[in-house]
Amino acid sequence: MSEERGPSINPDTDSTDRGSAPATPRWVKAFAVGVVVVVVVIIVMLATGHGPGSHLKL
Amino acid sequence: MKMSPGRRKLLLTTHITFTVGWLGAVTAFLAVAVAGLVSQDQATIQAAYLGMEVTGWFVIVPLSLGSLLTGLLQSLTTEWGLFRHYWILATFLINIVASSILLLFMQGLTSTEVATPKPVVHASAALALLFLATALSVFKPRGITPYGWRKQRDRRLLAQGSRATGEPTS
Repeated sequence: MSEERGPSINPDTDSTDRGSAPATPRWVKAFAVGVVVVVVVIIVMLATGHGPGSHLKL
Repeated sequence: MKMSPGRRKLLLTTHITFTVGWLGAVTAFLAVAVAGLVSQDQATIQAAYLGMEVTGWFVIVPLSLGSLLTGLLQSLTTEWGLFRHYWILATFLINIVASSILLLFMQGLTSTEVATPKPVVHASAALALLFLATALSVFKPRGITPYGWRKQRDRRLLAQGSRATGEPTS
């Protein structure tokens, strides 16, 4: 009994033989989550007065 | 825009030099920041902040901008492109974010009598980001963007069409 397999991946293009656009890799999704977290942290820090110039001598 | 192999390698060498130099300079910056943070001596704290100011403005900022510029040139003048591979897009984003935070941070950095953990936190975060960018550039994880996929498909179709008609591809 042969095992049913999904469309094979072309290593050069990361796309399937059926000609569809490649799926987004898991590491990219994880990276995107990281970017969102960093952006939120930066916004929170700027909003709470931890931005540039917060320890300038006046 | 295409480049000769010699120029391409020269540009790549320059880009690697700027980026790795940036990483090294941030490491030195972190050492000075820690020295300033743990010291109780006023003169040492002031000297540390002076060292961080000079290193930041005259070494780290030029290296970061150089890395960004040469990285852009590198991607736009080769087959890699800027928006075709996820890992290139990720390193570009890291570079933009790190350079922006660096410039904002440097504007607020000034000589002080009381050391704060801020320079240590910023330098540590910068080191983590730069290490991640370096790892991405070395490992080049698989994954092309929908735009990159369309470009590859168009090129493949063009090549197939040329083979069928016997005309050489440009």
